[in-house]
Amino acid sequence: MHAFLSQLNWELKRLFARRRTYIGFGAFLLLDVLIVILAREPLYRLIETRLSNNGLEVEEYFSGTTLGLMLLAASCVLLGGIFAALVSGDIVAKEWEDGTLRMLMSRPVSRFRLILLKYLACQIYSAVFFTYVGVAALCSGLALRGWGSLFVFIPDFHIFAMFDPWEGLSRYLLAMVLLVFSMSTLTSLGFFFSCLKIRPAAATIVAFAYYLIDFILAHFEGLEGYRWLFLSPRMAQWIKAFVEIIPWPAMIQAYALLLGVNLTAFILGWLLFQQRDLKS
Amino acid sequence: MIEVRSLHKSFRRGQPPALDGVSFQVEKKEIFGLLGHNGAGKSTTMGILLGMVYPDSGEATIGGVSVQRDREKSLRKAGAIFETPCFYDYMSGWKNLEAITSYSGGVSREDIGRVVELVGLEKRIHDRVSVYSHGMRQRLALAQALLPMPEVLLLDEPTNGLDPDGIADFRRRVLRLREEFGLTILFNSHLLSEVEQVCDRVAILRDGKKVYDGHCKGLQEDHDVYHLDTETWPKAEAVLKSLPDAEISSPGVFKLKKTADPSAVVAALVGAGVPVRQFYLREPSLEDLYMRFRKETEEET
Repeated sequence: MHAFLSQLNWELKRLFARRRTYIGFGAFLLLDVLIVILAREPLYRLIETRLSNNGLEVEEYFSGTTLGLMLLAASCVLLGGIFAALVSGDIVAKEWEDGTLRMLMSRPVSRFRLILLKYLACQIYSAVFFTYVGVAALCSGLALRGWGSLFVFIPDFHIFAMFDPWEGLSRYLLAMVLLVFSMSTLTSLGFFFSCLKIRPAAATIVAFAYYLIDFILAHFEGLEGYRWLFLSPRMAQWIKAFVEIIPWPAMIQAYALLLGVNLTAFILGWLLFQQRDLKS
Repeated sequence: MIEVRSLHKSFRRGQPPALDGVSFQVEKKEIFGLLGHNGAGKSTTMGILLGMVYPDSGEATIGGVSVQRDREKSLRKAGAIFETPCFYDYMSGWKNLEAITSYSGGVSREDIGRVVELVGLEKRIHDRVSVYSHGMRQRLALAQALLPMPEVLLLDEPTNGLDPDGIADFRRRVLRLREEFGLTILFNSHLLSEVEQVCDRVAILRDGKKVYDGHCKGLQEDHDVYHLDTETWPKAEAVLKSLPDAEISSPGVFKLKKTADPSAVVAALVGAGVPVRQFYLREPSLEDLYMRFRKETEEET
């Protein structure tokens, strides 16, 4: 166990030692700042309209958590998927392309263990990243709008809710944890494609394209009857943390399915890697 | 210490096999060369020995343990270097060693320091690998292969891309490793001269088949091949024909027995009025060896 943890530690150290990790982290912070600067007035007007239409006070409900949630949703939709696909698409394929995987494979370690370490490392990395995105969005929101109640209006999910400041914060944190779980499925898909004998860029593109096509088809009018086949509606369950009474059974069902997808992607990825001749 | 038995491997149906019944043995503390052109099957053999390539049939063992049956146990005794040394460029050499050796259960800082000193990288080991020269990368590759100290070292074209000084330095280190630590070394190369200088025994592969297996001395012929560059070849030809130890192969090329004195040949040519522009020894190539083995096989048949 000690050896396994030490190996996992080094896998993580390697991922976090890359400059592009911090470029990615910086990019998300910059995105938050840009949204805040460029969309400050339109956002304010949008929230003001929605709140005043419902007889609510804008100064009370357009708070740091409200803005944080808007930033989180925007940055995840814009860049989150790409980032998760990029990290996971690289995890095996890039190491193979760079030749470092051969170096590791010359060690007395089983293929299963190697692939498990890579999978866990990219899942932990992805979890840290999306936690950071959530915290950065919340901090940016709090810096600009300060402490206050949370207002959530998401028509697609029929959510219209108000929470007092502490309840709002706890809902936000719960949503952040659920988002991390949701994005683990995209990471698993990227990992699976990375185990194929393809270039890392191809693994990233295929994983992201899968996610995008799934998202488009799931929202396509006329395909409502087939929504259960798609992953993206299940990955969006984190939004339901903002429903007044959280629908836990439906959410648990959705996340159980995502967990199954994750496990399947890992096992298929491992089997592909296991039977491959690793020769350049 | 290393044994390869009847290895067969085809990567694609309908294409010639990468390995076709290759077998050889490497004794303890021996440096064994695996010689052949690109595509001869050397790297595939190495891949099978490291459990990275699955053979269609046959088996490879290291220290008596089958790589195919118990890869982890067999590789505990082995270290390997590949043609192009690849590392995590954004980390220091030291951190790379720590990261890579964690897969062998980890090694102490003292052991890393000792091996770093052994390969002569102590001054640059904390620099990022991205600033390393090819020679330094190769020494770092040797360091990782020696951690933790193995009994068997598998070297896949380790001198590719090195300058002559680098090649000589690497050769010295390999010989020192055998002398000081009693390592058994399998040395893949496509350079005949290199294998002759380093190895005790050699197997030559061609198109996945073994065409020779024996001592390096067996590769040496009883004659050398010389090139003669002159304006008056017919005159030179007459002189060479008169010499008992010389045998003409083709215009400008002749064989001379190793016991003969080449300077005496030059003297005879100059004495006969042949203007000698160039006269030099031609290093035997792998192709020459292949031709020779084929000729010998045909003669035996």
